[in-house]
Amino acid sequence: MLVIEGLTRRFGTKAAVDDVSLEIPAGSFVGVIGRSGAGKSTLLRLINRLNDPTAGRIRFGDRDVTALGGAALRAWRADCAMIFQQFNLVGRLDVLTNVLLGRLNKVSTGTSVLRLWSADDRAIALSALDSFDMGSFAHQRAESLSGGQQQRVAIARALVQEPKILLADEPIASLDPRNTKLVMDALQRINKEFGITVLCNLHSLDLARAYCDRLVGMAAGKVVFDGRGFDLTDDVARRLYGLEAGDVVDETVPTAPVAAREKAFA
Amino acid sequence: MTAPVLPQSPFSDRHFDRAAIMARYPGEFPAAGFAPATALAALVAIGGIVASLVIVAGVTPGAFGLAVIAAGQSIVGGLGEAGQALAAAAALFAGDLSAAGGALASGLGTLITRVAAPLGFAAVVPFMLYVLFVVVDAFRASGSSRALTLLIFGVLVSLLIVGLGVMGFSIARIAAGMSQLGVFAKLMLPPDWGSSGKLALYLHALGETLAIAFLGTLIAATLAFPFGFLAARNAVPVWLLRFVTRRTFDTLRGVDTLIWALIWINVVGLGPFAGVLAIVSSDFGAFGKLFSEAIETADRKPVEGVLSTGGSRLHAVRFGILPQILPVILSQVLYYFESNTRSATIIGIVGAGGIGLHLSESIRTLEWQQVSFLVLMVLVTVAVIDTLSQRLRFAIIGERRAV
Amino acid sequence: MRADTLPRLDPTVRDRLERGYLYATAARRRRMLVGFGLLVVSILLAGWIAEVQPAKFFANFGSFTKYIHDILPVLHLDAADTGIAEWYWGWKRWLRLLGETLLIAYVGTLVGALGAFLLSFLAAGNLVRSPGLRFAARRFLEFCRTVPEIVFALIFVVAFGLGPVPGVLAIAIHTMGALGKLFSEVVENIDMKPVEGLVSTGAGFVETVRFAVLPQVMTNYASYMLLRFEVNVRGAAIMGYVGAGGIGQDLLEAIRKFYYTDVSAILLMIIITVVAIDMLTETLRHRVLGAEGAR
Ligand SMILES: Nc1ncnc2c1ncn2[C@@H]1O[C@H](COP(=O)(O)OP(=O)(O)O)[C@@H](O)[C@H]1O
Ligand SMILES: [Mg+2]
Repeated sequence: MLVIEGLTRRFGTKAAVDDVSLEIPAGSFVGVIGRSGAGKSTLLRLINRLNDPTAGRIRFGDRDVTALGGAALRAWRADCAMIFQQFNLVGRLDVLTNVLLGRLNKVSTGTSVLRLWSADDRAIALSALDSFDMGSFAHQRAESLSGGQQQRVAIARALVQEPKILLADEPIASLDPRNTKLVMDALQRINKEFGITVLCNLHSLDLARAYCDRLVGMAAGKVVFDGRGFDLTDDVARRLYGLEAGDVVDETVPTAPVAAREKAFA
Repeated sequence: MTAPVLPQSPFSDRHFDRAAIMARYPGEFPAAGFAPATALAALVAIGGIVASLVIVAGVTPGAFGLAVIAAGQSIVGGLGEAGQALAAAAALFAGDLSAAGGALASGLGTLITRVAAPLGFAAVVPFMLYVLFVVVDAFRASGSSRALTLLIFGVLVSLLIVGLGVMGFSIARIAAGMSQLGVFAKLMLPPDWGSSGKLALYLHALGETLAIAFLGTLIAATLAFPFGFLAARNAVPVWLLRFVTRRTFDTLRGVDTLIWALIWINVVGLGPFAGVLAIVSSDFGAFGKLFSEAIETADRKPVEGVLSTGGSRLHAVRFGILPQILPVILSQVLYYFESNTRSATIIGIVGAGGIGLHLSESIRTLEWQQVSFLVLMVLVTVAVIDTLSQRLRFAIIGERRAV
Repeated sequence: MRADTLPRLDPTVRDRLERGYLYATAARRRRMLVGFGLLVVSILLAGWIAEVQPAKFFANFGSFTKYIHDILPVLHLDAADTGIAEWYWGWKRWLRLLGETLLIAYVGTLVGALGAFLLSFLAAGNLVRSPGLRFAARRFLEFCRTVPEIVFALIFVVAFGLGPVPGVLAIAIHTMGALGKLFSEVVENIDMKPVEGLVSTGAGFVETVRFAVLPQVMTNYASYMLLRFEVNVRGAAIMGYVGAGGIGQDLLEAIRKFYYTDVSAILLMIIITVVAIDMLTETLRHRVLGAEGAR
C-alpha cells in the first residue's frame, strides 16, 4: 500500500502540490484528474522522487520513500515505473535497447555500459515488446516510430522493470484516439493481469470514468475529490475544471490540444 | 469488490514463456554466443595491442612481472616511510609546529609519490581503456556485430602504445616527473613578484601582450574581410581566384604564430611589433577561412531581393549579405581576441614582446614564485577579457553563440 | 509624370515622422559614436604600447621579401632532381621528426579527450546537482585551457626532462581544458527527456550518462575531437622550440642559424602535413555528422 501524508512541494512561493494525503491500496487503478497546472505531474514525480518534496512523507509498505537515497532510492524507482506524456525514450537508441534500459537496476553497471545484456534480459524485453505487438520493431531507432508506438515501447520499458506500482503521467495526451485505446487497454491489462498498482494522470473525464476504479481530483495542488467515477457529479467536475455552471463538461475538457499547450512543465 | 491481488512479476514463470520468445525471435539469440567476425576482430585487436606492447615497449611477461614487483616494493616501502614521517609529525605536533608541518608534508609527499602514484597508475590505465572502449562502442548501431568496434579500438590503442613507447614514456619517468612537479608546486606558493622593479616590468609586459592581441586581431580581421569575399562562392564566382585565395589562407594558417614571430623578428627586429605582425599573419588565414564560410552560408533570399530591385552585384553584397554576416563576424573576432590574448602570451618566449619572455625566463631560472605570479596574472587577464568580450557580444548582437 | 506616381506626404506629417525616426535612432547612433571613439583611442594606445612603427615596417619590407627569396631553394629545370635532393638533404631526419610530431598530437589529443570526456559530465550544469563539484570541475578545466600549452611544456621539460614526453603531457592537459569546455556545453544543450526517463527507471549516474547522454552527444564529441587534433598537430610542431620534441627544434635552429633553404624545406613539410590533416579531419567530420543525419 502506498501512503502519502501531508505531501507538499513548492516552486518558489507557489505550492504545486499542497498538503496532499492519500492511501492507495495495492492493485488499484487510480486516475488523477484536474485541469492543467493542478499539480498532477508534480505529484507523480514526487512519488518517483524525480522531484523532492518540500514537506510530508510517502510510505510504501515499510519503506519511507521520502527518506531514501543512493542505491535504495534507485531500487525504489525501479519498483515504481514511470510513463511520460512525451515517452522520454532515447531517440537514437533502438527499440530493444530502450526496453532493456528498464533492466538497468538489475544488472551490473560494468557490463550494461558495454551493452552486454544477458539472453534472459533480452528474452524478457522481447516478450514485453511482443505483448504490445512491437516485437518486429526491435531494431528500429525509437525516434523513427510514431507516438503511439513510442508510448507502447515506453510501457514495455516500464514493464520490464517488474514494478510494484506504475505511474503514468498523461500517457495518452499526445496520441490519437486509436492509440489512446491501445495504451489505456495495456495499462488496464497490466493492472488486472499482474496486480500492479496503476496511478494515472488523465485529462479526459470520460476515459477516467471508463478505466479507473477510483478517481482523485486535484485543483491548485490540493485534493478536492476522492471517490468512484459515478460519484463525480457534473457539479464537482465543473468545480474541478473551473468551468461556469451550464458549460457542458466533456466538450470543454478536450484531451490533446490543451495538453499540448500545457507542455512547458509537463 | 475482489480482494486486492498482490503484484506479480510479468516475467515470472506463470506469465513468461522464454522458450516461445526465443523460438519467435531466433535472430536475437545467436547459438552459443559465437560470432566469427567478432571473435576474429577480438583476436586481431588483442594481438595488435600485445604485439605493440612487446615490440615497442619491450614489455615481456618477465619484465611485466618485474615491474609489478618493483611497484609492490615501492608501495610497501613508501607506506613504511610515510608512516614513520607521519608518526614523527604527530610526535612533533605538541611542540615544534613548523617542524611538524615539514614532517607532515614529507610524509604526505611520500604517500603520494610512492604509494598513490603506482596504485593510481595501475587503476587509471585499465579504467581509461575501458572508457575508450565504451566510447568507441557507443558508435556501433545496436544489434550490429561488435567486430568493427574491436578493430578500431585495437588500432587506437596499438597506436597509443606505439606512440608512448617510441616517445620514451615509462612509469618510472612519469613517477619521477610527478614528484618533481609536486616539489615545484610547493615552491610556487605563495605567488610573488620578486622586487617592485620587476612588478613594473611585468605590468608593462602584460600591457604589451594585450596590445599585441588587440591590434593583431583587429588588423587581421580588417585585412581578411575583403579577402573572405574572394574565397566565397556566392560572392565571387571565379573558380581560380577562389582556389588561390583559399590555399593562401591554408598556408598562412598552417604556420604557427610562434614561427611567424620568428620570421618577423628578422624583418622588424625584436619587440612587440613583430608579435603584432605574427598574430596578423596567422589570423589572417584563420579569419579568411571563417569569414568566407560565414558568407557562403548566408541566406540567398535577401540577395535576390536586392538584385530584383535592379541593384548591382556590389549592392547585393552590401545590402543582402553584409547585414547577415556582420554579427557572426563580430562574434568571431571577439572570440579570437580572447584566444589571441593567450597566443600573445607565448610569442614573448621568442622575444616578440609581451609577458612570455618573463615567464620563460623565470621558469629557466627556477624562480617558481614568480612563475606562479605570472601565470596568475595571465589567468586573471584572460578571465577579464573573456567576461568583457562576452558582455560586448551580447550587447551588440544579443545572446548568440560564437560559431 | 514620374513624380506623380510617388506618394507625397504633407510636410508637417513628414517632419513629425522624421523627427520620430531620428529620435528613436539617436540613442543607438550616440552609442555607436562613443564606441567608435573608444575603439580609435584603444588602437592608438595599443599601437603606442606595442611599438608599432609603420615606417619601419615599410622600410624593412624589402628584407621580408628578400628573406622569402633567400629561403626558397634555387632549382633549375634541367637538374631539378639533384636540386630537390639537395634542398631536402635531411629528409630522413625531418620525416622522422614529423612522424614524432604527429604522434605527440595523436597521443596528446587522445589522452586529453578522454580526460575531457570524463570531466565534461561533471562540469555540465544539467547533470550534476552538487554546485561544489561542478565549480571545481569548471575551474580546473579553465585553468588547463588558459595556461598556454607551451608554458606547460616549459615547466614539464624541467620536471620530466627533454624530449616528447613533456610535449605530449602539455598538449594533453591543454586539450583536456579546451575540449572539456566544449564537451560540457554540448551536454548542456541535450534533450533532458531521455535523462528523466532513465532516472525514473532507477539507473545510476554512469548508466544515465551512457544511455541517455552519450547517444545524443557523441557525434559532436567526435567532431570537436577531430578539430582539436588538427589544432594539436600545429601545436606539436612548435613544441620542439622549448625542447619538448617534434620538428620544431630543427625549424627553430634553421631560422636562428640562417640555414635558409632548410627553413623553406621544413616549413613546406609542416604546411603540407597540416593542410592534409585539415582535409582528412574535415572529411571524417562530415562522415560522422552526415551518418548521424542519415540514420
Ligand atoms: N520545475 C518547475 N519549476 C517551477 N514551477 C513548476 C515546475 N514544475 C511545475 N511547476 C508549477 O507547478 C504547478 C503544477 O504543475 P504540474 O504538476 O505540471 O501540473 P499538471 O501536471 O497538473 O498540469 C504549475 O503551476 C507549474 O507551473
Ligand atoms: Mg502535467
